[in-house]
Amino acid sequence: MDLCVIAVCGMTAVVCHIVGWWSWCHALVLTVIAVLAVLELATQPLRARYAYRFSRYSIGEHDVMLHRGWLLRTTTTIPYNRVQHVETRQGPLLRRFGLTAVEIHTAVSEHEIPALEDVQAAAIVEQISVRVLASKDDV
Amino acid sequence: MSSRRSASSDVSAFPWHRTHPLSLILDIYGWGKGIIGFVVSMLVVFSRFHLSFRLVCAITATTLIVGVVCRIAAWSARRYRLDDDSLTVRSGLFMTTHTTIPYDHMHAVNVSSPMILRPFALVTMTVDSGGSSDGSSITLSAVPATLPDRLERLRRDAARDCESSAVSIDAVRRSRSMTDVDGGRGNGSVERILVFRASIRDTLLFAVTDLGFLAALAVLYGFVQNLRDVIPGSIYDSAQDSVIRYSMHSTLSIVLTIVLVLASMLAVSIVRSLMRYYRFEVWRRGGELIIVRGLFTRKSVTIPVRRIQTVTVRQTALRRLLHLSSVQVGLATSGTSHDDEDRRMHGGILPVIADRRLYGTLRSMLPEWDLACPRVRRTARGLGRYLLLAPLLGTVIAVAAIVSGAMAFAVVRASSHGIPAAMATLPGAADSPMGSFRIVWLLWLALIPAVLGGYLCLCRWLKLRSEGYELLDGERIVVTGARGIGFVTMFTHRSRVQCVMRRVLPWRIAAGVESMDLPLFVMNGYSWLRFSVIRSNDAQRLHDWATGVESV
Repeated sequence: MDLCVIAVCGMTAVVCHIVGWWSWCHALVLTVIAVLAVLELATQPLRARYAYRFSRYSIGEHDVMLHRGWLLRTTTTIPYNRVQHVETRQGPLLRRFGLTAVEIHTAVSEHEIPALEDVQAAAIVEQISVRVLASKDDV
Repeated sequence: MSSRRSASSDVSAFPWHRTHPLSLILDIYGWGKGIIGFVVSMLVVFSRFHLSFRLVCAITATTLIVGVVCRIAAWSARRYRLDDDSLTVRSGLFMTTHTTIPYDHMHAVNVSSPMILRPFALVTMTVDSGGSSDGSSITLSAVPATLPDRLERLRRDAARDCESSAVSIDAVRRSRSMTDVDGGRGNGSVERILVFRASIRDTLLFAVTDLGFLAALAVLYGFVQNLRDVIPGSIYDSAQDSVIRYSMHSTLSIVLTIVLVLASMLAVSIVRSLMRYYRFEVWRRGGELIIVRGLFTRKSVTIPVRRIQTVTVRQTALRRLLHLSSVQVGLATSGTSHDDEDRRMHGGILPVIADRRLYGTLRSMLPEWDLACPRVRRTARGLGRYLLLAPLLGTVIAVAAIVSGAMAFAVVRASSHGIPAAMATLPGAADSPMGSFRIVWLLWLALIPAVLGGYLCLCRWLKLRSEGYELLDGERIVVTGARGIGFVTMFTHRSRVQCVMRRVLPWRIAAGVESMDLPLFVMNGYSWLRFSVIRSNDAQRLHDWATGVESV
């Protein structure tokens, strides 16, 4: 995505030069966009490690708890009787590494456990489903 | 139940019905209105290709005929059926779609009776089943006026078995003496009880204190802009110049112009409010709340009380000063009206009411909720620095940056030209707009962050003063707070809270201060119980309550 943004900025600069629309204003805007994209690309590995390091989940007796972030620490608790359905997602990249993402849907939002081993994901879906069935509540 | 099931299997017992042909006419009218802009645009495009007049007419006529034929085909294929358990609509000519909403899954039934349908004893009915996904609602236009009552009877029968929170109609009956036996509408023994009727004074009060009062300015502006399209440009411009010249002629004329504009806005707001809320009534019928309103188009919304997610009491700053409130019930449906104001007020059960009558009226309407003036535990008390420090610092830094930047620029320009800093101008020719613009005038830009920061600080201060909660009986909670510069009091049940989200910054852990959100499944208004700052022990208490941990 970031590479696409950088490429589009380059192409726009070339087109602007050719048609004579080039000015310091164009240069400033395109440079800012390109620099932001480069920064995001450069920090992607760090951010991925950060997200991985500070993401936790726990399957409790009454609820599922998800912990995210270090700078802004967010804890989300989803009681089983609020779960509408549980979804799994596996793109080509996750499939290549034998991983599965689990999404827990409530009536208003969805919460993701990003990358679990296939067996573990299946077990978690099974655990949550059993507990949801035992505590079904109508909205 | 078994007899009902066997009846369900007998298709002939539940025949399919087609909507009245008037619905086809309304559909074609709506479609025509929608594509008129497109047709005009296409005519302009065709004129560029120098097509003959006949060909253009043929293309236009073909487009219109194909559109009308498609609508006729869609209307002829569309049928609805009420059986013992559900309302079903069948639509589509080539690919048939069945949309079924079981009676006990209906969250709201909206009935609209426009003047055009009244001579034919027809209404438009919308059934919402909650959520916003495709197929979550069914709209039937131009159906018999008796159909909503029939649907309500069937819905009540279906809900009787599963309705655990049976409504104590006696409680309602005791609280109000005015009753209306609904036998005339074929409802058997279920009574309709009038629990609230807004007077003309209430409606006027609503109009004067509603934000629509300001929106009326946009309506007036839009009307004036539309005049430009129908009046020759030169006449419009000269009229505009005359008005501006006259209104700016003297102090008196400026004041008169402002008064005239305000009076016009007020008049527009009053007319709009009267059209929407004239004879606003709230009725109870068994476990249902029925809201009826409107001058020309009478609209009614039937809401099963057990489907109510929240009861929200709102006060704008102006209404708080006047000791007025408005009340809305939170629903899992957003309403199907195309009118923004109608959507904003979907679920509104009290447009405006004096504070001293508020909870008495609410107890009459919703005795199951047992609503009373809450005695909240203030959660933000003593935590002002956590709320106000960041916006105050941000505002000061932004203002200082603009001031110091502008002054530094002025000093640099002034020193290079040997003139006082106050006389320094932007680079450019002396007679050009840039060259004659003094740099110190840029200091006015500091007003932008100052005003925005001031507004943010005011909002935060209101949160500080108003956020709190009270756990009412283990199952219910009331949360108070501020949204923008308005105040909100929300009542809800534990079962309506979908999850618990707690956020904390590392340097606040030691102080035990965090923020907390409890999302609700509400589609027509505030859908969060929010605490901007809360002490961790309070947050843990609310967390345990919401998740059903027994320690609470």
